[in-house]
Amino acid sequence: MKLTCRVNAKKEVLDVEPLTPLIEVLRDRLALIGAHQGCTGDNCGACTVLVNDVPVYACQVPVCQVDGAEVRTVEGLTSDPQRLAPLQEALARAGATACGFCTPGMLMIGLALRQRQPRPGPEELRELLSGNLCRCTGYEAIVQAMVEVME
Amino acid sequence: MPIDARDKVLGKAAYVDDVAVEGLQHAVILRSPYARAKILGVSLDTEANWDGITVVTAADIPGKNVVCIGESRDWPLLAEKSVNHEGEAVVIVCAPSLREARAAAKRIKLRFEPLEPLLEPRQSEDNSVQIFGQDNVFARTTIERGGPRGSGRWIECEWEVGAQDPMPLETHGVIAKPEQDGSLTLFGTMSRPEWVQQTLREALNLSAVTVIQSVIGGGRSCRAEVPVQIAGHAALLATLIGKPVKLQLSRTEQLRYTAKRHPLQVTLRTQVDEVGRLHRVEARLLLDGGAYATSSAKALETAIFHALGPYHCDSVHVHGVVVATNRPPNSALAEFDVAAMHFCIERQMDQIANSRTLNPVAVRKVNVLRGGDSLHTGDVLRWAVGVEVVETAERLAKAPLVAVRRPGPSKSLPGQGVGLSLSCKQPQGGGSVSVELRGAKVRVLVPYVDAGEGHPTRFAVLVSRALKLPISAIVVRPMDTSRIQPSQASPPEIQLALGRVVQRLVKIVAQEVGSRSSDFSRLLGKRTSTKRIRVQEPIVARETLTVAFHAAIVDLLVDPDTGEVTLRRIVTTSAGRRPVHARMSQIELEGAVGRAIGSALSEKLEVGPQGAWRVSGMGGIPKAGAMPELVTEFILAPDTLGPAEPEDGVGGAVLGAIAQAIEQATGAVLRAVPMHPEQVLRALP
Repeated sequence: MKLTCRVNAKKEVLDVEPLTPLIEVLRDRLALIGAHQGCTGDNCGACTVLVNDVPVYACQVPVCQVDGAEVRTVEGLTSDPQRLAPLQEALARAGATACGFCTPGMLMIGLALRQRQPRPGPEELRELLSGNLCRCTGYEAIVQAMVEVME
Repeated sequence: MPIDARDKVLGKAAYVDDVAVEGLQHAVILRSPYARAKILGVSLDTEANWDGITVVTAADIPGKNVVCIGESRDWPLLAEKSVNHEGEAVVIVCAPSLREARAAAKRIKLRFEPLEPLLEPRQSEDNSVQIFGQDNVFARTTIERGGPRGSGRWIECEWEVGAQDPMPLETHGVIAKPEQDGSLTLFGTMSRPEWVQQTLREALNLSAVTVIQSVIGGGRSCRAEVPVQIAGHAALLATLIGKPVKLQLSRTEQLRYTAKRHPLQVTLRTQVDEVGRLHRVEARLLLDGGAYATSSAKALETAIFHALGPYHCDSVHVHGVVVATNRPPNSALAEFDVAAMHFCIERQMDQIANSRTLNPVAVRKVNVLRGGDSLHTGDVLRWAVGVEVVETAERLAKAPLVAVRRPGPSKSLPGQGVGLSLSCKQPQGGGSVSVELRGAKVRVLVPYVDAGEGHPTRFAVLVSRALKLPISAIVVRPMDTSRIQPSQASPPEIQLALGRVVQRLVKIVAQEVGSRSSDFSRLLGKRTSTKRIRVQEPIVARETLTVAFHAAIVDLLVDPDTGEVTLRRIVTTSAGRRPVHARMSQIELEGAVGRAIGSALSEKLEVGPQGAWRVSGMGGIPKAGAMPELVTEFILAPDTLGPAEPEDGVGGAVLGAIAQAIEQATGAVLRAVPMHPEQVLRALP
């Protein structure tokens, strides 16, 4: 099928198999490698991206569902690598990246939560991050960094 | 900021699956569905189109059919006549795309004659099923020290710690690329490049091999063995077809067939006096090594070394054996192996306290190692602060709980438990470090493979402090065997060598510019030459054991109807050397606490009918919402006494403390890890 969507504010016209997972299209067709394939089974959240500002597991979304949608990945957080977005800056400064495999997914869920009103406090944030796994940090550093930005 | 953080938050860090290579072929593995079987044949669908597809079996291996893991040579690169575990690699297939490789694999038929497997480690020795040698024993060790004393009450208990999946978020993967000069470059998640090189030398007759680490998505110690085998597979295909080949495991393969912590069964007999002091400890350890030896001897060595945990006793008999079964090979995973043995000895301490109606903390304080004590291995501890870590944890645990965190059902029973652990590292040394001055930048080459622990940042911090240069002037290269020889030296040993090499660099530059100053920035300002200066320094093994002590106090709630455990707070105190980067050490320690929680409460590893693991989800990693309030404190040792980094080895203390807290809340004596609700309910008095 042919579909049109906007990925990180850029119009994309794609000729794709409709049931191809979104993550494969992002990585293999658009060379957006930030979202990672961790579990490929609705478990780890390393592939989290935003579709129309809603966080989704890109490994679970058939690409046909983003026809006409706005997709945002970690690559769209800043246009200038020298000027990190506030969430990126906070996670990097807090040393909350560690192996870094979960980081892009954490940033995207963090961005979605930051757009909520009212913004979540630390306890709610922990619950809301439960769809994104981090093996390295025990989450404390990630939560603290996000709280700083939410405030 | 960690030196690699910018790339990671921008989504630019290059993991193995992120690298684009022209003409890359994709490989998949066909595996045995049986625990033990004869291979009768491999047949290809003759109707299908095989253009562009390469199919490889053991017959295509030009050298010896082995994977080299240290001295072990029993693990084949590809099974030839028989298979010894479910999931054993038999055939590898590659094609221009992963989809085509998977489709081709479906058109290949493997024929087997299934044989009776040996799946139970207790039945392994002297079984009619022979997997390894005459008696299925990979390694056996006995330590006798002090002789029986003959006084005090005996307490005997059996403990069991199941397998644990290291659960890295990124699966193992390797790209093998033939170069124009006839050499081969391997890029990927390999933490033991020297084993990869040795395997390619012996199995593929290749000596010109460069191993470069990719950015690795967690789990350093689990990147040792299985990545060597898949590096061999990718290299075999790449050399046969003359094109680059990638082999990356699927999540299912990673969960079912890759190495786990050795399941451990321990019988502990302890003879104690009226205050709970240990007079004699007798321990029998049985580890399940799986089908091939790999690093099982190392796992046994670790378990034996930690048989008494952080406690002292002059009269000891420890006997350990690691045996073969028809299950996927397990791996020496330092952090998890240490934690497993500590769970057993901590539980024993609780039963000693119960048997004499003693305070469990007091029993620990009576027995904990003190400076000058010798271990059962004969090593003498120059420094020990077991009492101090417990008392600091007790003080911190008196603070009120964060009120809103994890309240649990109203009928829940509260419990508090304490656990101790000790981490030790033997002196390693070996290899060298080097620094290279290139203009205003200093490039650092160290034989260390990082999987997210952040040691490259700590090396950079150390060099930047020593040279008084901004951290942006320091570049730490990832492990690359064309630039530096692999070594198993520990980070503290590498840091000491870096300290020496930097001093030499300062002297050389001072000499070059004719100055006596030791201010490196000033020396650089005077320097007119653009010549590169490279200085190398050997890594010397430290003279003594490096040790760290830990205490954990866990506050939790147990629902008596469901057995569900809700963690409210974990306090840890860890004593060791001064961290180079305290914040990174703390984050690493918090991660280790998280992994211990996962292995204790949420990980579910079940054995399938043919012996491979059936893992439901990624429970080994707790969810953010399941994490309790964490309070951590470091106690610093004097720099001269050889202590280890404080973040190493806290997991055993956490496991022990969780079990004791559950017992305190409900009276349930848990004898095994994991401690799921069904185990808690079963153990209720």
